[in-house]
Amino acid sequence: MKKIDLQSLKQSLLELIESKGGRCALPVYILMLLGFIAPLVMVAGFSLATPHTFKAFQSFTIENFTAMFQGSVWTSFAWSIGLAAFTTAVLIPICYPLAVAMVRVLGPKCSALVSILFVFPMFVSENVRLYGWILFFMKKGIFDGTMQLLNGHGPDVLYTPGMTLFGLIYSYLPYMLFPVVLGVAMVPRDLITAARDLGSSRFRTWREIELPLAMPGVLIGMLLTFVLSAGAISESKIVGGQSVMVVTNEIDIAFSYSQNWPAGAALAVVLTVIIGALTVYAFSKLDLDRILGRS
Amino acid sequence: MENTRASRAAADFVKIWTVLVLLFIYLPVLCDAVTSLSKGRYFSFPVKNGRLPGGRRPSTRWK
Repeated sequence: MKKIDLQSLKQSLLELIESKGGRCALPVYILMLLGFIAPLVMVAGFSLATPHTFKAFQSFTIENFTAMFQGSVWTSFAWSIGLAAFTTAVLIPICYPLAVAMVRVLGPKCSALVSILFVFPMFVSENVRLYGWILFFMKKGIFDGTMQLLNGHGPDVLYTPGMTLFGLIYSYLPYMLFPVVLGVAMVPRDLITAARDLGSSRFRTWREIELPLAMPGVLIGMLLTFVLSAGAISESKIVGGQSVMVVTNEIDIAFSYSQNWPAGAALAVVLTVIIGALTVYAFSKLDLDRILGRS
Repeated sequence: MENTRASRAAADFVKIWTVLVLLFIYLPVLCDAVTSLSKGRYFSFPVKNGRLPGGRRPSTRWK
């Protein structure tokens, strides 16, 4: 990891503020401070407030954090992290062949069309699409109804932990796909052809040349999918029927039914710290300049 | 020859895979569209007595 030189960082900041471009971007900095940093500071402030109070920065206690691990909340963290890890693991083998198809097999026009087709459903609300799966899997729904026409019946899968996982896989597929496409596109075709000409098997070429070169894109996809799945709530509520309580459910309950904002804020802080630490670790292993073609 | 055949099979596999995943992505949206034709308060499939926008009946295959 690169060492951060505070003196040069301070110099760069001063230059940025003194430059014309920097001054023009001032409204964006203010917006970022108000819209992004301020809510995080408020959440951190609430997490240290006395339980069941509604005023931040007036009382300081770590009771919310200690109470968190006395109950069963840690199981919610385990479910969130476990489901997010499983979603990421399932999405890699789904998305890699798709990325290969989009980069190498389909022509440029067809590939562009497929990209648009993958982006288009994201214009429809996630909740609406998840309710579509309810209509598909429910009793006398589309799948069950079709099976009854064939003298059978559909499986009773709704409102199970497996269905929560299914919903996560469905919702976050595009977030894995596009970084993997970027990664696969970074692999020079000449290298693959050279390896094949030198007698390397198809699998060995993939394992020793293609996969390591596509890895930065795959890692970004994994990171994006993991972070978003760990913070997801709709899948567990709508298709999972809260059969398992993920940590976002606990945060939702703390802020709404329980009216215990400090407890909810403490949960949010711990989740943010876990995800933030993971992101920092992943970025320390990635060469972003190379991925973005700047070096 | 063997190599070309394997490449073609791999290309066919990823094409079929792309179509299957696209179907998976669009299936719930199609379910929403089919349900919108249902007249009853509670949805059941096949849709009975469905109406299209404008009050027209959909084709008899929905009955």
